Formats: sequence, structure tokens, C-alpha cells
Amino acid sequence: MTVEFAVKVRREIDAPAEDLFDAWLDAQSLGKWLKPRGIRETRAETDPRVGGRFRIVMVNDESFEHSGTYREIDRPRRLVFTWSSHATGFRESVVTVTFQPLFELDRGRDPSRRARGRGSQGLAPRGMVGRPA
Amino acid sequence: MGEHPAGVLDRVFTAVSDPTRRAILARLADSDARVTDVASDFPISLNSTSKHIRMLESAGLVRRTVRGREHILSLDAAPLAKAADWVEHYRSFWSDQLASLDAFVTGRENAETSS
Repeated sequence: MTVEFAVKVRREIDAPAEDLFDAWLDAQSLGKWLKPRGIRETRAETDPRVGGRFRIVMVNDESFEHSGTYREIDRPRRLVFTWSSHATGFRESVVTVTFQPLFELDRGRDPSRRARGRGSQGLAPRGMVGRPA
Repeated sequence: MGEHPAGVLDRVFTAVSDPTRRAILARLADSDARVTDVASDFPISLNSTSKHIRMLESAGLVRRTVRGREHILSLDAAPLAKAADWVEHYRSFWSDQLASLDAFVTGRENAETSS
């Protein structure tokens, strides 16, 4: 029997879901924010389509390579990719990032024409380590 | 970012995913016990108790000492601490990265603290 284990983290971010979503796929953006403490530089290459691969190298005195494949790209709601690194023992884990608006703005009188607000948006990424599917 | 003993963690998480095995661990946290004592504490057969105990042993959570014909079981909680470290590693990695994403997208550098 194999059990899947997941660590869930959640954060509310005051930004449009689209901007947050794009920051996960754009190599230049990733290079700026995906930079854990102690890392001098992050170099990212992405091929943001389902089945496309990414490679993220984090450099301090050593360099740490992270790589994976995009499994679902549903802008700006849900992003699923595999993630393999030194920390996962180079086994494939699965990271699921979901973006949930915290409120919607009513842009018109017609309730069927509610638009997604550009105010607060929530973000609830989920890192999951499991078996290769 | 330390070594990731993947196989050990799989066994630990699988071991603690079952309520009977968690109850056996709780029993052994009180005191060491013979296999037969543990078996009599639970409404399941000696055979299935033995299976649960073997899974706990393979995860390194239970040690067995053989004294003559008696098998004494004791708890070793060290692998649980490793499992907790694993959870904490990913939790802190991704929550730090989300703080960093927050700062990047909103342009606010003080976004670091909230979670």
C-alpha cells in the first residue's frame, strides 16, 4: 500500500490571480522570486505548456538543480507540475498551485456579469510528494 | 537541504497512516510490552497484530528484543522526528517562497512576515 503525503501552505496575496499565475511560468520572474535564503542567483528555463519541462538552478557555493514537467496549466486557477530536486532525493513529487479569488467585484447591475476583482486574490499552493504517476 | 531518505519516510508515513498501528505506538509510548500483551489489547487476531508490528519494525518505529521465548517491543520515536523534519522542510520552503512571490508581485518588501 502506498499512501500519498502532502504538505499544504496557503497565503493571501493582494494581487490579481493572473499576475501571480504568470509569475510561476515566466522564467525571468521565477529567477527573481524563487530564491530561498542563502541562494545568490536563480536561473530558470521554462517551456510552459502541458508536457513541457522546466529547469531551475539555484546557486550559492554549490548549485541546486530542480526540474519537472507541467501537467496542468489552467490560467489563472490551477497549475500542476512535477518537481524533482536534491531535497526530494531526485524522486518526482507533484506540486499543485491553486489560485482562489477572495472576493469578486460586481462590475454591472446584471448579476450574471460579475467580473473577477483585481483586488485581493488568494493563493493556496500545495506541494505533494508521491510516486511517479 | 539535507539528504532525503525517501524509502524510510515512505515506511514511516505508511506505518502511521493506520489507526491500529498508531494505537500500538501509543501503547508502547507508555511502556515496553510483549507481543502477546499488545495483541490482547486490541480486538484483532495475533496474526494481524504481528503484521502491524512488522510494518512498524520496518519503519524503524518499533524495536524487538528477544529474551528466551519472549519478544519485548519498545518504541523508537526517532524516525517520527525525521518525518516531522521532512514536513517542516517543505512547509518552510514553500511558505518562504510565497512570501517572496508576494513581495515580487506586489512590490512590497515587508511582505516577509505574514503567513
